Amino acid sequence: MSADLQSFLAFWEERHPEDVVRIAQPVQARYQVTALATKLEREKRFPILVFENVRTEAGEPSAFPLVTYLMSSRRRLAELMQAPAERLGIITYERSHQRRQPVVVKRAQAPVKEVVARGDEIDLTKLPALVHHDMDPGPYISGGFLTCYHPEYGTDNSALHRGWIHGPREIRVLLEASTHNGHIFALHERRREDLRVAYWVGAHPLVILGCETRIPLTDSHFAAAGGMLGQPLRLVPSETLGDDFLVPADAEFVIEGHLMAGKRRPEGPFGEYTRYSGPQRWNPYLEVTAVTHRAGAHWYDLMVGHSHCLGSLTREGAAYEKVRRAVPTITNVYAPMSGCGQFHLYLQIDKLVEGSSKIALVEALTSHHLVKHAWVFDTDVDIFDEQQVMQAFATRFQGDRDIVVLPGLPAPTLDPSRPSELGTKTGFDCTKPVDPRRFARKLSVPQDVMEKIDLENFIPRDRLTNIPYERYG
Amino acid sequence: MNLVYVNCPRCEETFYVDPEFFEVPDAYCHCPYCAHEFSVYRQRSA
Repeated sequence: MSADLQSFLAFWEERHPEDVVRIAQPVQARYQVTALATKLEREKRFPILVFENVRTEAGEPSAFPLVTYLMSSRRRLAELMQAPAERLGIITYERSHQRRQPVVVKRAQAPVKEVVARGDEIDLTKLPALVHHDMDPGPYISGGFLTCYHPEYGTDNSALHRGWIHGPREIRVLLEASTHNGHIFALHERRREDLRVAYWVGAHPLVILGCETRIPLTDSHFAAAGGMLGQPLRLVPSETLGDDFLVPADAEFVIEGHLMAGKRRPEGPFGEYTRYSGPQRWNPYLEVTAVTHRAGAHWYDLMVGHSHCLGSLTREGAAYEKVRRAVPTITNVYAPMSGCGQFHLYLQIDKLVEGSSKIALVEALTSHHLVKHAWVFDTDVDIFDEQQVMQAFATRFQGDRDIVVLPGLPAPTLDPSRPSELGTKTGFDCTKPVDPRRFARKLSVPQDVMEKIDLENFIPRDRLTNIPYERYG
Repeated sequence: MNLVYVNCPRCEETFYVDPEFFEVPDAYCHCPYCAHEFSVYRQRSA
């Protein structure tokens, strides 16, 4: 199977026509797509959305369809990876260690070279890039990977970086110094050299997952994406950045250019994964030298600020691995959307030794700088059910005895409550004592009685469905 | 999150910026509502 976005869409639509929604009605890039996605999210429905008639910020119909919500369904990604949804983070992490070296193909074999624009032919304002939220200053690249090469190691580095499309040939980029791409740019700025970069937009979901994985600077994200996909990524030389600058041949779009050394322009505010808008910043910008794309290319949008599994899956896997080294009886981990998919971790352990739950908390809290709070539960608590999570928090936790506080550690930049660059990580031990005689028994009804009682024998199904649903129960 | 609310002098809409805009002489803000660009360098009250 070809490993690209449109082949995946065709495959998935044939397999699950109910899970791909094509919308032919005209929609505005400014706010309307986000409004529709927001309403679906409130109903907890996350089909792949394909908007076939998007009006750009300039009010013109875009020639390109827009795809969003691709990475928003844990259920869909689990089926794609042939994994149980509850184990998806762990399995994703295991697969992120696999590598497949990419292969280089000729331009004629690269779909992304079917249309090439350079110089005055380039007009980014014709793309159906979205203005997602109030206070966003304009259309943004939200699902594009920014790729550059390390000047000493020669390895490619790819990461999602938001980019504000500011006119036909300029993109303003959030490139924090703590990121690998930020580090590579800093090395170039020290030598007063512009940095060759390319945004590539639109890929198979497993390529997106593989490239989003945090790996050492000496490792190739393209090889990691191949490992996640189970086949090598196909690369092709760039148009304007030299033949040694390789880009994904099967992407929908590639946008080439230079990040200008020593120059900054205002970027943002922008609605981020925290579901708050981050402030405007004084950020670098990209002067675009070429845009290449498929004939009939689809623009890919990551619906930022709404449910998506990108950060949460890699967060779960990294925490599981780190905790397991110290507490081998960890059974599962979950990064819920209520914690923005990043800030919160729910751990589940089979507690055999007193204190192991607190060790698990310390390991989880230090597994990534974005993890802010962690809870640990026994195996009788379903960590994917927040009703059960909160009940265990209410009944198994004491503030003076069961808390772990780690002050003075790097805090997430986009956390609105962050007091400074340093913040506090907190862990909550919601496990019972190892000795069952030191804790109360949970309510239960004898199993044989539960099995014999069939609700519909007492209340017929049509009567049952008429009883009001109670959200406060 | 370190942020400072500012008012656009042209359209009077409110948005927020990183404090570095008050400290970097060359930096200027861009109003997300009307695209007006303006400086707030050294304007921040203590």
